[in-house]
Amino acid sequence: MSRDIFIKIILFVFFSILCALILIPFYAVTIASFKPGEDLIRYGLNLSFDLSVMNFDNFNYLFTGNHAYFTWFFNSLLLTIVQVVLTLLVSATVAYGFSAYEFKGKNFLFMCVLLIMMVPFEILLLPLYTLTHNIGLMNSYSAIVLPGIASAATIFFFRQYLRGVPKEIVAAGRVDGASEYGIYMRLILPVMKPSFAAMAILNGMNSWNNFLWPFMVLSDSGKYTLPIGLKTLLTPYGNNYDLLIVGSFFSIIPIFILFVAFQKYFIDGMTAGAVKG
Amino acid sequence: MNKKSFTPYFFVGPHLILFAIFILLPTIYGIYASFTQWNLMNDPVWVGFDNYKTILFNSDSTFYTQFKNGLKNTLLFVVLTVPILIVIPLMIAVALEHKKVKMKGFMQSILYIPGLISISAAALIWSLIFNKQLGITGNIFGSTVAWAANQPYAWITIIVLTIWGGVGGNMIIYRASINGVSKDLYEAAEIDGAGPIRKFSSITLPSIRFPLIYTFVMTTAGAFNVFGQPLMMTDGGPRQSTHVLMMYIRQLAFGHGESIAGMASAMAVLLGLVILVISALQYYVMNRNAS
Repeated sequence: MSRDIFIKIILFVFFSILCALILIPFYAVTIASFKPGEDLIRYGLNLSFDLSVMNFDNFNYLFTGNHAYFTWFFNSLLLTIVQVVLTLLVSATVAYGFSAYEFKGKNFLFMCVLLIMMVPFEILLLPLYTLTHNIGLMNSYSAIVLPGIASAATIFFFRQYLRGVPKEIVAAGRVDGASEYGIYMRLILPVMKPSFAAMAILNGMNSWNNFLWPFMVLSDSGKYTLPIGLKTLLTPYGNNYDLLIVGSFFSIIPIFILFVAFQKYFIDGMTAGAVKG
Repeated sequence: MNKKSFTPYFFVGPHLILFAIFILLPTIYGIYASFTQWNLMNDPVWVGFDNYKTILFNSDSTFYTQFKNGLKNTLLFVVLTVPILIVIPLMIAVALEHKKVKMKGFMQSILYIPGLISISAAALIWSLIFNKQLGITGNIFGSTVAWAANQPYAWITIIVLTIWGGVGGNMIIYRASINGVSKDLYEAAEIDGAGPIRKFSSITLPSIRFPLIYTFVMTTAGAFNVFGQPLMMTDGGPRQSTHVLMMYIRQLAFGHGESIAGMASAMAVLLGLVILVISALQYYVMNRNAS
């Protein structure tokens, strides 16, 4: 029995250290968001939970101060919602097309979609930039949303999921005389709901955190998204730590709430392609 | 019947149009551009293999040194992070399966949280932690090193950030696949007197072969595309020793002065080729050894 206790202790220590390593940065930034910026500059980022210097001034400034934080915040929110809705609709439709029908060139087209997943973004980045410029989409949200709709990963996940959907559903629909679109809209889409949740969260997270491409396309600071806005607060002339820390902290909150509420779907989305292979 | 034969194209059509305009054509154009002299604004001028020759063989040219240094640093990043990002998550996933571990779900959630936040927020937090004046390393551990400006510390900051953010993703994949392994196998092995190590090597590892290959290939491809971590933690320093290939590519195309997009495209294509070849090789070797 002493061996059991030994294993128990080892596991406990192992996981305690692991959790501490993961959580310390979050703890530090949470604490710092309650402290004045001068405190950070004078004493640095630290772990001391000192109530005498902690207050809600930063949050007060975040919510009432004269700055663009919530413009960025709602830009990000809008962009994320539009991106997720469009990507899911288009991806689900194309995945159904690939899984339900046999047609000429099907395998070739599907291979194309998957192969492009392997191409480094930088190869298409430069031409995409000129293309966006030439069709006059610079500084517009369309330029961010449209290329993202063709999401190979999402199509792949949906197609895997549709493999598990019994073919009888489609056959039954045809017998009942439903049109091909009717079958898709009324019979298939409802069955796909769980995979929608998983992909909504995966795409939503990527869109919310997306940095490089929006950063290149958007030039009007009123249109900035949150990650870009936060980066503009880091300036060569000293950083606005009051807003920076509390702003970073607050930008994590929406994703975190979603994660806690829909954890199962996060995990489904993460593992869909890898596990069911 | 004729009507029906068009139906599939209505389903896949809208996506394929977007795919062609925003992904496929730019990719082809990008490959074409790698054979040209191009400044992003004017029409590209065809120069054949000149860009590639310069990058690969002209040791007097700065592009040659940049490519060599960038590729070297990128490879170093891959070699330093990929094994850790496979082994540690696998260890954690196996340890989490132990009967004695309580609150498995809670633990898994905590490990995954860093994967949720954007690279800019994560880099901001960690660069503060490693900051010489402001950071925890200085405040608590009394370190006086300017981490981002000295080697090997600059690499350590980048790797810590990468592993902190990346452990959860692979761990969740391994856990889900280990959960899918039939319990009967383990029970049968226990009856035969197999110990934990034997069970791991004879049952767990072969059963999760596909997820292992998948994560290995994906993690490696991701590591070759590394950009955000060195950009925000060290900005390529000290003395360009953490300047990865992706940073040179971006610099050439969008840096100060006139854009050298043709050269940048050639480097991007070479990087893409390296990734494709290595992914294919990994897949081939792992798949063959396993069966």
